[in-house]
Amino acid sequence: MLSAISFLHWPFLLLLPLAVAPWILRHPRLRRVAAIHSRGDILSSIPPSFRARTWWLSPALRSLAIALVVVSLARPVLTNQDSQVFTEGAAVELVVDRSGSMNAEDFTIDGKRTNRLNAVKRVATNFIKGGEGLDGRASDLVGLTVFARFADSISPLTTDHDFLIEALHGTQVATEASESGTAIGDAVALGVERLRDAMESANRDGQERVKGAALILMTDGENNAGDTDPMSAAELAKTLGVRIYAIGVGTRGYAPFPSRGLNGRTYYQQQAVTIDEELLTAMAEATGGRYFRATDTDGLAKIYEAIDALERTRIEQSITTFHRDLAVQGFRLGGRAFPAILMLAAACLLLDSAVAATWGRRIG
Amino acid sequence: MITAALAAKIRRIDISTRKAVREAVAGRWHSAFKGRGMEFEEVRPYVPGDEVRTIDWNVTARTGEPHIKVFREERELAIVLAVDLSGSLRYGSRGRLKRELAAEAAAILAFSAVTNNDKVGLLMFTDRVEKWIPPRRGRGHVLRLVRELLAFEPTGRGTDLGGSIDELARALHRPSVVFVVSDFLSQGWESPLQRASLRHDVIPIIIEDPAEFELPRAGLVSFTDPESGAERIVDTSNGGVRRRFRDAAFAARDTRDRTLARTQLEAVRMRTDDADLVEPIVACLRRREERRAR
Repeated sequence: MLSAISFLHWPFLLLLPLAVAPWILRHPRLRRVAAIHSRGDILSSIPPSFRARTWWLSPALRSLAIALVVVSLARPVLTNQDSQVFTEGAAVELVVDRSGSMNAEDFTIDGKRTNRLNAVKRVATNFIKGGEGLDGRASDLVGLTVFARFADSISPLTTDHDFLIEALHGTQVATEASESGTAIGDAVALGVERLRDAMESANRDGQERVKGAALILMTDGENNAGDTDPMSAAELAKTLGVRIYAIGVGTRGYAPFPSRGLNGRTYYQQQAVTIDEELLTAMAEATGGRYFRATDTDGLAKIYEAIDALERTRIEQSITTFHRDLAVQGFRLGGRAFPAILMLAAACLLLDSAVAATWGRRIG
Repeated sequence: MITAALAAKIRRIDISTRKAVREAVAGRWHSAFKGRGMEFEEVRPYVPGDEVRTIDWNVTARTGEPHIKVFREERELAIVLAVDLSGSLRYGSRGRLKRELAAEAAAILAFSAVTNNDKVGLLMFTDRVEKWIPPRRGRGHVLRLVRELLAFEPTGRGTDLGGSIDELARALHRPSVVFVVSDFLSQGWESPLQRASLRHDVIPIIIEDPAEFELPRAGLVSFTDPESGAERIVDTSNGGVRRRFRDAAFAARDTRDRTLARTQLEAVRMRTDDADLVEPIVACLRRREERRAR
């Protein structure tokens, strides 16, 4: 719910300086002098009583009344926009490679060299939660599958993005020899499976709450493990209407791989980057997605922006607008109830009259 | 321009003062002001009713007819009325304004003077000399003076009593009797008054209003100072305010009276609630007479 006060006849606000009139009209030159006293010198030297010191009450009330009337002329309206946003969420499965090669430090975060997985974590987080030029995917179901030799579904598709990001950041590069490998086909198949589950449960009772499904595959290698042929997985995705956005993560040519020496120090070895771009491109194009190559963090972020734009969810807003004429209708603002502005003005004048007849009753 | 009301006022002052002047003031007027020096004018035959004391025995013996000496006043007396028209006199809480009181007092003095065949001049001043009418004789002249006193609209608002007296003293060629009609609410008049009194017979006439000492009980009043135009909202019902005002007003009056006492001049005090204005003038004349006799 959006509340805003606007003035339909705002030029009347230019009359606001009229509010100083009660002060100017007090000037002796503009008034009939009612009472004079030859001992003005003595009168001025006597400290005034409290009653005499509240003389400003009347001009203040009149000023306020004038100001309120002027504001009323400007026709203030409180616009309550009750907007309901109907979003059709999409389902997005992140499939992240955590094979040993993701350790290669050919990416930078904030000027510091970092490995591919960290760069992926960073940019994927922004993609989900928003930040650094990305809007976030607030209404989307997002799931996470990681893989090395085996594919693991870390998180089912969920709107609990905080949990998902936590899971993403908990992902470690696989260092065990038993895990070494890159099972792209298995991972994609698993991710597609997860997407299907999610869409089925979301769109259960005939309602299409989740429209469109995308799988974002991030890998830096070639399919060399697993039982599923990557292209078969892509076919599966296509059958289910899942677009695959494949991102080849890694610089071109050689990348520095850290390895621990016997003395505990870290050495960097230059290793050739081998990304099966043909396969990834084929998978992406087979499903109506796209293949991207990320050679650095900025590039990776740009890719996510592109995907973000491609997979934009449709947002429908129905906006209901209520106008309240504040001059004549009471209103609530900041949790407080206010009477109509003209009522306030009338109250000021009434109070002024009451004061003028009692406490402020004055000759001259 | 003489309005009907103004004419009526002048008439009223004329009539009321004429009577008072004839009855109370006349006899004392000259003895209060004049020196004893009389100038011999002529010797003429005695007619019944002449003062026997004035018979000139030498001439009577020579001629065989009773003759008397006729004396003329040594000098003709010029009375000057210096009347304060400043803003502070445009105030009065009891029936008349201080300014009206000042005009009435001045009118009484003017009629007294003219009744005794003296010349009367008028100086009206505020923070400057507003108008100077040199002394002349005659009832018509006095009526004009009274009219001016009642109708004149001063351009200034403030008071420069001292400066006006100094200017008056410069304008008077001959020693005169000067009545200074003012509320003496300004400063710096002491030495001009004293300077003037060296050559002239200066009589201060102090114009006061009761409300200058006791505020009227009227709740909140926005008072404007007629001289400065400054405005002040005063809680006239507040005990503290009233007390402070009274104390300050009486203190100011005491200061003024002490200053006047230093000049050793015989002052006349008049209040706007005084019904009889002749009485204080007569009292003043009487005091002067007595002092002279001593």
